[in-house]
Amino acid sequence: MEEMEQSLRELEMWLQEALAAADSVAAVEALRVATLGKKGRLTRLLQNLRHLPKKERARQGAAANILKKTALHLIQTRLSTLQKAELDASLAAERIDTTLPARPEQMGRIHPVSQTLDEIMAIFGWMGFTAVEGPEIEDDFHNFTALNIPPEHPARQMHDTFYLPERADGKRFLLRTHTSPVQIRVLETERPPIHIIAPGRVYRRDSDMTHTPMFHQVEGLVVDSTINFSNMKNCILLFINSFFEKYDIQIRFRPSFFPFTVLSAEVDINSAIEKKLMTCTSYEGWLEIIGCGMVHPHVLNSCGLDPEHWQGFALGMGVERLAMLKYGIPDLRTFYEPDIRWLQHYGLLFMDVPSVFGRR
Amino acid sequence: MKFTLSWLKEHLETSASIKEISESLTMRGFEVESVKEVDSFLENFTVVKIIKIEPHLKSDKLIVCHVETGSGLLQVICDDLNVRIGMKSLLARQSSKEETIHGLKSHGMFFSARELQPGEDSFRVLELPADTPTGATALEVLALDPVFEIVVTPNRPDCLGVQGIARELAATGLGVFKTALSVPVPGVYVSPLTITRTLAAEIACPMFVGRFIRGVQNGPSPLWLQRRLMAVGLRPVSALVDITNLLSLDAARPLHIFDSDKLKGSLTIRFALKGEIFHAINDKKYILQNDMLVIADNIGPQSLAGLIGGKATACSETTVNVFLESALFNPTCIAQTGRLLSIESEARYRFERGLDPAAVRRGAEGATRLIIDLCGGEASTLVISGTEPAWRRTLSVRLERFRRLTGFNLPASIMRKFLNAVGCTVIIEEKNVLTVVPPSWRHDLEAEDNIIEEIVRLHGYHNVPSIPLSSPCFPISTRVLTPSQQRQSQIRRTLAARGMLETITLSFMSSKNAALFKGCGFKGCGISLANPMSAALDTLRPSLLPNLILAARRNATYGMPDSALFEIGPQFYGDKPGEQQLIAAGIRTGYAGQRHWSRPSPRSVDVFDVKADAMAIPAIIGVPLEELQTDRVSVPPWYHPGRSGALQLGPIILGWFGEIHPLIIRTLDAQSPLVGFEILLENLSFLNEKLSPPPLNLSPFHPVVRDFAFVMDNTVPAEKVLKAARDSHKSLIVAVHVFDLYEGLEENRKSLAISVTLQPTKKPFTDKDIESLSSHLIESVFQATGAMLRRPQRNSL
Repeated sequence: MEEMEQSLRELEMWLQEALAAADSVAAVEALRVATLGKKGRLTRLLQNLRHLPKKERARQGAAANILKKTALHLIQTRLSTLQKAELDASLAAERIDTTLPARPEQMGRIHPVSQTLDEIMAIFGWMGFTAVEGPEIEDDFHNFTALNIPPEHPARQMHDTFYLPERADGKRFLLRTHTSPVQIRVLETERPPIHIIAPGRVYRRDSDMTHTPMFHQVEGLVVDSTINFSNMKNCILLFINSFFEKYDIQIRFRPSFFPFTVLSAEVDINSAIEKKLMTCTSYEGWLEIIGCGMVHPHVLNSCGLDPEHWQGFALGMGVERLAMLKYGIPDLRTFYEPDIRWLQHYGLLFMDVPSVFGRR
Repeated sequence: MKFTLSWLKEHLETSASIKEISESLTMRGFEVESVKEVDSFLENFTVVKIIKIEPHLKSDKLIVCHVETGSGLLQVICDDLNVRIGMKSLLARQSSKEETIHGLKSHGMFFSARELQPGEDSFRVLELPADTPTGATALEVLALDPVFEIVVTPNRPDCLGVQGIARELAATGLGVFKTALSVPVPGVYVSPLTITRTLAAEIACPMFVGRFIRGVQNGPSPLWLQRRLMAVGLRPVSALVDITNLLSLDAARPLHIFDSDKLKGSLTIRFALKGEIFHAINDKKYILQNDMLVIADNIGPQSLAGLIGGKATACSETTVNVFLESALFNPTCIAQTGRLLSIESEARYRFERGLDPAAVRRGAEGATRLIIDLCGGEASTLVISGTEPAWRRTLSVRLERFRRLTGFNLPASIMRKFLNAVGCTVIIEEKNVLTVVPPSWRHDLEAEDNIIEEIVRLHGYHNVPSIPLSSPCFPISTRVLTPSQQRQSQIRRTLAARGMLETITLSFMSSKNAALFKGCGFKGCGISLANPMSAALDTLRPSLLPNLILAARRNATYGMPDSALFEIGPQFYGDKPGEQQLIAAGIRTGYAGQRHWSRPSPRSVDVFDVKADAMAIPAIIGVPLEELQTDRVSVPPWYHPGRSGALQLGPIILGWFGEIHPLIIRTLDAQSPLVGFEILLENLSFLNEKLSPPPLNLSPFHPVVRDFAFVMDNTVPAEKVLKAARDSHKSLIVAVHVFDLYEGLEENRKSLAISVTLQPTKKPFTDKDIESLSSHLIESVFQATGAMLRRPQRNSL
């Protein structure tokens, strides 16, 4: 009896000392096996219990079981301590410099003209317009004559047209000087009600501070039986406010002249008032952004529409100027020099999709 | 059109400020471009008299003038050899230090026309009238006042004269128009010269008024006339020339004065003979066509009608007898001749827009008065050929039409008031209709709608209401963008998301470079322009790549050799409307990404970068990528023949990708590596509707991945191996990809390792199933390509 109790006490003492000396998870694990494993010291003591008389066995057994619980607790405690220390050590060793830059990713950009076109189309789409397209090589009829600009009309001089060489069949084509020929192409094939918008490249033989030989226009055309000048005014005001996302822009309509419209107007906005919106300080005062007017009866007639029954308005705008104003780009000539620094600076992120764009 | 405030006030009694005048002009359709106040530099100039001229000993292009300034003598070096002793001019004194020109001191600078008008090429020293007080300041003498510059639209030639502008401002209520009726000079003899219009020329010249004036004395015009012309940027020449310029600017009435002593015989207005040569006052010789109108004497053409006078019969300082011309010519005839001969003149500008047909005679009278007043002489009676053409027309304006077109109403009485103010006569005013006769000078008022426009213009566009379009006119449209536009936008944003920068380049390029991008059965050939801006921009581009390559080169010269650029735009293959294709093209150069600590030597861009770019385009449009094939033969010659491919969907070529051909890189002076792609967007247009995806059928069973390594001839395309593997069991094999390529095996052989994903659908695979699928796959690949299995690799997922 005494012997058994003695053994248990000794075992506990030994385990405590051994655990204190164990300095790794593995050493503690070895102690666990040496104590509680199949051939462990405590396991053997417990096995020896069965040789004891029944009464004695119960008493000694209880003591041994208490020691088993104590041993497990001691081992677990020591293990936790050591595990934490080992984790701390390995974390400390794994330390890296997280101030180093992340892996580079290339972020592409959308050209401001494309973005501006998307925005214009989105607004007119929301107003119920449908987009159409027309060819960039045009004939004299669609670009001029059908638009009430006969040969030798002084308005032709304002267009500085690019011509293609005369063909073997005597025809000579040109690069369209405006998007207005799309009006004619639509009126030739469709019947009112018409409300279309036509974006695209146009060409004029001109190159200086404020002109490039190629630029972009958007043409709008509305023809129905009652469309009037006051409607045109409303439509354009709505567009300008919507495009600049402002309702306090100064806008003025002033008379102008286009051969293909009557009640012709040019629309100016006052950019000096809106310094905050138009960051571009090179613009002061009134700036023309849209030309418009009621479709000229000659144009309707030449497309087979009776001006007594059908009427409407046409408008045209320069996309670059709108882009310059909205995005604060000072120099037109930089638009078509594909300078990476410029594109990264003025380009827009691909996810900047105009909100009402692409409605189907 | 330029004019000064004082000039305007000569025809308009007004107390309006400059701001009010500007505002009124702009809001009535005459956009004010600028109002220039007097330049302060003029303050430095004072009147001097030249008292002595000596040659400059070191230069025969310079002379030394000694001038009296009113407060002493000064020495001035000058490059106008025409200055004379006794001549008066303006001199700016060098304020701080005196200038030394070729060793001689110059104490000042004479005034010439270029001081007023930048770009004016005249170096001629201004000559002032002899009675100008020496020592007076330029501001006193010239009395320059604010100069307006306005835009006159082509429909308003009546406002190409200050009188017209004054009349317009009066109509808008800004003052009272003062009609300039000069006292006619009675003719005291019959002109020795007559004028004849040939029958053919009668339509092109409906009326010609001439007048002989004898005994004139030409010389510098008086100061008021000189300074008026100078203020608007014209160089005073001589009194006779200045008078014609003045009337052109003042009354929009171009005139011509012949030195009649230089004319041989009387004048005939006729069409030129083909090949006839005309020597103009601008020292140019023109070869004429038989549809060009000339005014000729017995020798030949002495003036091109409505365009420019002749050199031989021009007035000079010695001119004594003159013949004055005030005529009416057909605008189209003048415009056409002017365009064909490239003559831009103030006269052409006015004639081709249309003159007041009722003012021909008035023009002649006004000019005679000025000539007699300024140059003396005696006038003949008028010589008139033709008659004033009928210009009266009656237009009916329905008030209902006004309301329909404008969206608002105005009382007829107001309309009448506006119309009267601009010179229209309202002959009948009924309840619903106004009957209007426009004035002779308003060619633009040709129909009812023009009268309506005129009323609204005078009412003020700013007073027009803003009325929303009524909804029946604006149904919600079923689509906004064309499918092509929608697709462009998707592609644009996809390529940008792939790290590329969108560019827009000109549709032009040089024919030299375009030649590199044509031929070999491809549509592009480069369409040249008849009138290009420059040789670098003389051709419509047959491809988008050259402009992008030049862009990359340009960026490289600015220290940015790594480019990833794309453009979506047209290329041209024919010279007729519609012969253009929409292309998405891109290039990549240099390194793929910047240097980074995790990868100190970055990878150079290669074919597979642009293959991914090119394939992203059909992918987002909804083309199943496994159906795309890469053809290595049908590739345009501007790609490296061994490192490029055509993307095909069945028989349709969607585009190309590859390394740019080294010769092209060298010719365009660009740098390798340079890879590019082109996608023909119209070849994707058959995919108009994006279909909804089929219902998703998820298998409950785990997929199995097996790897195979094949050894084959190194000419076998990888795509063929992949296709054979995939096609060996289409329903169970859901993915196949290449994960290793090894070429060091033996000569002309390569090893390609592929990973195959098998997806059971009805029950999990047994080992036997997998065995059978694998051996079938190995057999299929062997049959298709001759590739042998290298060693089976197992890995399970």
